[in-house]
Amino acid sequence: MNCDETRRLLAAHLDGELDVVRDADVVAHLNGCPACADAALAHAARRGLIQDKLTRHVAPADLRASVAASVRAAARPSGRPWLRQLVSQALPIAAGLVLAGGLGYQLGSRATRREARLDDFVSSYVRAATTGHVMDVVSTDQHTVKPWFIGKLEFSPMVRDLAAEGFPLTGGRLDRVDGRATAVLVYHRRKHVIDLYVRPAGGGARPMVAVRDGFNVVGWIQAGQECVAVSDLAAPELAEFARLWQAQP
Amino acid sequence: MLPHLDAAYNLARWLMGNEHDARDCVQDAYLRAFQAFERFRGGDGKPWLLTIVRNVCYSKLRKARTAGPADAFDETQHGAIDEPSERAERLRREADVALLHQTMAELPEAMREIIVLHDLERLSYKEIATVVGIPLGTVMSRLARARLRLQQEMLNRHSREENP
Repeated sequence: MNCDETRRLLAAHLDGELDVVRDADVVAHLNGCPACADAALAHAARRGLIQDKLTRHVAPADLRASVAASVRAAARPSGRPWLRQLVSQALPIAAGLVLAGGLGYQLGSRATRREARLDDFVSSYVRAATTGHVMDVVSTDQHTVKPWFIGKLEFSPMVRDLAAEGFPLTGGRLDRVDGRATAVLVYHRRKHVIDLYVRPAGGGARPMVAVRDGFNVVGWIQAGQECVAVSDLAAPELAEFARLWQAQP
Repeated sequence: MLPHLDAAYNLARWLMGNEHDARDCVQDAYLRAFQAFERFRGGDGKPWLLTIVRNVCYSKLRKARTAGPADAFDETQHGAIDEPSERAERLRREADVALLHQTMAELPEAMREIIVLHDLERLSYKEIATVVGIPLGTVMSRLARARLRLQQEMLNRHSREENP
């Protein structure tokens, strides 16, 4: 895939609207082309600004009552009994269907988005492992790792060391996960690597435990930040890591 | 029971630019939705309802613009815009919310509505294609341009305010 084609598909890629094949092509191109990767970051920033800061106007409280009243008025007995009958039967059915449809839509799209986010975390983990680009900053000292993120991110990620508990911090890197800049803290446990993704909890953040492509994923929310641990470590050990991390002051 | 009332109001509010007209449009749209229910073929009610809201808003806007016909939206005119540089980053940090809203209010309608439908109401590209009546590819390119244009205009206003 060339640069033009990639640029054309950037928004759709960030919005999760591409089919898997084209999306993989875009990702492959972004990994090898710093200019397009920059453009992707810039678009992600615009998209983030709009989605985070633009007001979603909420219907004024009295509007609900007045709309309901006018719909009822339309359904009131008229000179045409067949219309009245249609209306009185159609109203509850229509409302029910619209509501059911809406609920289905929300549940469906939420589930899809959650799946896509999960994929993004796991693919970042795999990408780092396969390209060998696991850490941008190598340090076992949390007081070195934490300041390293300053100026590179718009938030200050929580950083903890669990060396005493057998999960030493070995460094960190920056990554983009579903279009958002994310701090990645890298921990080791024997020969296994744990990536802990930390960023401000956005709309879709929620606790989770999942297995994807043989990797374990544990996610939680703490002090307004979304934390997602991904590892090839066995599930009980990763859960232990998550528990210790959350318990640390 | 009025499903999607906030979504309906949000779209109308952004298209009409004020609360009064937005309320009228929402009221009107629900009545029409109710009357047109026989034509509703099932599926998701939200895009269906927003299609009606959108039609009501545009017909009201057209009536208000007696001076001349509304310009058709020309994709090519809103094509290439240079990628904003590091100023964009600074602006994002400052996140001037008031400026964002002011700029959004003055974007061309076609761009404004696509941002509302996708970034606020979270409709999929496919649903937007149905609501707006444009091909899927156009949804993709228009949304990308709309976001870019919004940021570009913010930067322009920002520098005008800094160096009058």
